[in-house]
Amino acid sequence: MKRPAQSSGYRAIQIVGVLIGLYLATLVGVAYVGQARFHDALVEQERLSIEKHASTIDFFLATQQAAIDELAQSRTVHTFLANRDLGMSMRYGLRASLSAISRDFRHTLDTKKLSETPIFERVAFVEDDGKVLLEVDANGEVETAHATPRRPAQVGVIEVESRPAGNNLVYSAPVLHKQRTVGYVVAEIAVAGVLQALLAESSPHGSHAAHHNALVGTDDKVIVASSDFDWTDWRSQAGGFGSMLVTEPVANGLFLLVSFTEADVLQGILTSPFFLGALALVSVPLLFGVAHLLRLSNHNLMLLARFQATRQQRMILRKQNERLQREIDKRFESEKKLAHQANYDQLTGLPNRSLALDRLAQAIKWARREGGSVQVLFLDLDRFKQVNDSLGHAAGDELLREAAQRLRGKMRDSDTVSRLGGDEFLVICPETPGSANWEHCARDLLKTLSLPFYIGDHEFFVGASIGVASFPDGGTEPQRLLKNADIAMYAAKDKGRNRYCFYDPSMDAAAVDAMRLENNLRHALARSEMHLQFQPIVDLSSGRAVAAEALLRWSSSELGDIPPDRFIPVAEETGMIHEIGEWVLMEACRQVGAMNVDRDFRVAVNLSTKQFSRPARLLDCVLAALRASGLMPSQLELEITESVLIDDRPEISDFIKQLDRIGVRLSIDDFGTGYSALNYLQRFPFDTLKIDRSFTREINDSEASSSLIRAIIAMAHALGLEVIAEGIEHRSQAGFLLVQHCEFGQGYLYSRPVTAAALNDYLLGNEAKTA
Amino acid sequence: MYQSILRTLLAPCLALIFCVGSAVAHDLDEVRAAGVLRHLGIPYANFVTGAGDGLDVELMKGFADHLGVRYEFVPTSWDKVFGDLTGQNARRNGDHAERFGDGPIRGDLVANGMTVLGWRQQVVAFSQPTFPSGVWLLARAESALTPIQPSGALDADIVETKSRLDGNSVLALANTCLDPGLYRLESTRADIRLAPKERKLNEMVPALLNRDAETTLLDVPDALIALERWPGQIKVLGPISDEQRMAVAFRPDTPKLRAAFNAYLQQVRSDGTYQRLVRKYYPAVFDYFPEFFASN
Repeated sequence: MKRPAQSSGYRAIQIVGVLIGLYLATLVGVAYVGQARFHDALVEQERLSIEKHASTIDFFLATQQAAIDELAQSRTVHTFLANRDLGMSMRYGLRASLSAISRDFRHTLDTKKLSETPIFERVAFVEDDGKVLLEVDANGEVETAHATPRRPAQVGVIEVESRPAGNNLVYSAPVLHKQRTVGYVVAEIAVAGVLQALLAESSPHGSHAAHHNALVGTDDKVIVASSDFDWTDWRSQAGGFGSMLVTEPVANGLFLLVSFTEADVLQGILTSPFFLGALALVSVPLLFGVAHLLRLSNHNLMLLARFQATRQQRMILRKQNERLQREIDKRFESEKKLAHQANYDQLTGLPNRSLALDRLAQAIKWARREGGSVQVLFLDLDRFKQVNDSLGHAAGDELLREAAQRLRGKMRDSDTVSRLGGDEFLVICPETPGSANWEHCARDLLKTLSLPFYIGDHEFFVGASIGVASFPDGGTEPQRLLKNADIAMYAAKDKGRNRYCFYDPSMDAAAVDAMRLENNLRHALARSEMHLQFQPIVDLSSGRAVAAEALLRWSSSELGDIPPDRFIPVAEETGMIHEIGEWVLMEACRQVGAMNVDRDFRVAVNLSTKQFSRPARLLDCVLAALRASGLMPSQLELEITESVLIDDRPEISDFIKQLDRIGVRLSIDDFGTGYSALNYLQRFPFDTLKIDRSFTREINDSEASSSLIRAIIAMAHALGLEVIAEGIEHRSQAGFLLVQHCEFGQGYLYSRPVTAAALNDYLLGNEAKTA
Repeated sequence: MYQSILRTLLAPCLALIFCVGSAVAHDLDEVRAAGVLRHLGIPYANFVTGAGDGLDVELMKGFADHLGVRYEFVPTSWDKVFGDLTGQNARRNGDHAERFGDGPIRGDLVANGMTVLGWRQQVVAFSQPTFPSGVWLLARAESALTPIQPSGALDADIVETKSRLDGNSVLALANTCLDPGLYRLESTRADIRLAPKERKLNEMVPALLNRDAETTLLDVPDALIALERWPGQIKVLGPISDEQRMAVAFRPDTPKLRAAFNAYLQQVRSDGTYQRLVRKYYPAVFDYFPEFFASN
């Protein structure tokens, strides 16, 4: 039968078992070695301690020997011996000397103490033959008359003397007199009291019962011990486990200071084998405990890591949420802003075209449902363009805001006032059945817009034209209603502005005409439907033609002749003015250049304000025209309306200065009809000023006009400008102007606008007249 | 003329009588009234050391404290000591006292180891014995004279000692306890050399060492001190006198003061103060006069 393979868990248990065994072996080995070293250290420590205390005892004994030696050589002893040598008797004199010795001995007994314990038990003065002359103990002088003679066995060393009451240390100091030993001072040290105290002091373990100190003689007899002492037993125990025996010779080897520590004391300090065994056994559950703790710790670490990761993720999520929320808020704000921008006009704050159409659709739905009507008022400011051209866009914007505010103020909350763009506004008035009162509403709007506008220091009268279309008669769809209202608005403008006009289906034809005009205009140049006419400008004093103003004419193959005041605005609005203007400039120069005219004959060409939006292109065109025509720059005179200069754009200023630099002449056209200031006459290098025909026409009819002309001419001359008066039709007008020293003039009096060929003929004829 | 002379002499005599009478009357009450106890003393051995202390100085200071009066030491000399105490000087003449010369009384008692002698008892009244004494004969160490071997009987020893004086010189001091007449030294055929009056008892051993004489008399307390001070230079040959006693001397007419001292002495002997003082100044004396101290 195949034996199943051992599982990895079983192998792990085997490995753990081996490891635990190794651990236990290491533990026991290390503990044993540590114990041995510790035992050695304790022995060494005990030896050092014993050596120290042996030295102390040596010193103590030496001190006592010195004291006894000093007694033996004291003056009292020598006085006694001297007096005795003189033969003095104890009865008469010698007794006093012996008494002095007795007092010295007594003093020694009383003063020599160790921790209040008298060191000496007795001191005796013994003659050389052993006869005791004097003996003093703690109680005083001892009767020595019948004392047993005792001669010391050894002199100068401490010896042990056994007594029934115990052992004593005896020291005999020789008494030398006349260079011979005549006696001894013998002192007995109280072993029981003094040495026992010394032994107690020498014990490093204090008064521990299992620690013993003793002084042992050379004959192995115990002299004194700190406790019950069995020297033989100690020596036999010394080799046993844990016990410790240390000896140290004292008093030149006379005694041994013995320190013996029983095993049970050291076992309190050292580690016993049983303890080691127990320690080893304890280690097993300890290992399991450690393993369990490690497992728990790992588990805790994993939990902690998960917790940390979760917290980190939560924190990241929170941050992301916060960021997302901020982004949402931002997006919401942005969308709100975009929605507002999408639905409202930024300049006026009114709903824009999109929202207006939506509201119109809602109003139509409502009207259908309720049977009501919706009045749509298409409103266009009449002279906004002039304001915008003369004071700039900022002023125009200000005017639009003011106009919007006025319109809003006149309408109900249920009405919608919106701005469609430019100067166009749309008012939507849902009306309940029978309540339509659009005329009243339109009049109110016209009235409020006819009031003057104040922009800066300027006062403007703008006015408006309103076209009205009504649901359902004027259209049933928003776009249709809007278009019809627009048509009605144009109709109002056609009728003279500052009025309202209700949509009529017949107006659709006019709108179609306007569209056809625009479409044809786009193809006019290509179809060569445009041509120039020239109106001579004559010297009033001589009648000689000095220049000719080029005038654009459009003869549409489809629409017929279209006057400039109809197609020029369309050209300006559609941007075709640039192409047309360039064509006029090139063609005027070419045609005049092709004439056989004097070098001082000039051709005057009108420039639209729109052409100045591209001054560089215009300058290139001027140069190209001169180059192509061969005219001298001084033969070209460009007519500019005042409104061009009002903007005070640097590029326009540069353009004009460049024209002046190359020698092209400049004239101010339609002077007096604009709102501009006069300071531009000083700032720009104009050569000529042209008085508008509206002033010339009324020279004979209006004193104001004649006065104004006089002032204009005087002012122009003061500024060094030549003056051209337009629209001269009568000789009286020419006469007046001549009187006022106006240099030049043009008008039907002299010549209608004519073709180039006719001009050429006129010039030839004129030349013949003046020659 | 004689009457005027008589009057002239009588006045001072009467004054002296009154003066003496008033001195006699200066007993315990007067001492207490005066607030001072005047201690007459001669520097001698360790009784009055001359350095402000001594056995008798401390004893008298204690007595003054006991009386509640101030202590005052009045130094005197052997030839004036009785005059300073009684107003009349005195000296030995045989076994009697011979008075001579008068002087002012300067003290209330004499205490400086004064030996009680017969002739002195005729002049002053002694208190109870304060110290034992005797007179020994001393010689220089190199002297050929040898100390006697004690026989156990003092009389025999005295005889043996005096025998050493035959043909030898001995220093003595008249009118003191070392007066050779007190011990009938003239019968020894010794060359008695009396020291000058101004010599003090303390100076007897130095005089001996100075070879003023072969031997000298010296009372026991002084001899004990001398043996320690000059060890090996002097030796005691033996006794010259019987055992003597020292005591404090009072004027005979001051019994209350003397009685007060005796009472004080009994008190300090009882409380051990006396023994302490003796042990301080004469530690060896207990060995020589054990009976004296045992009886106290």
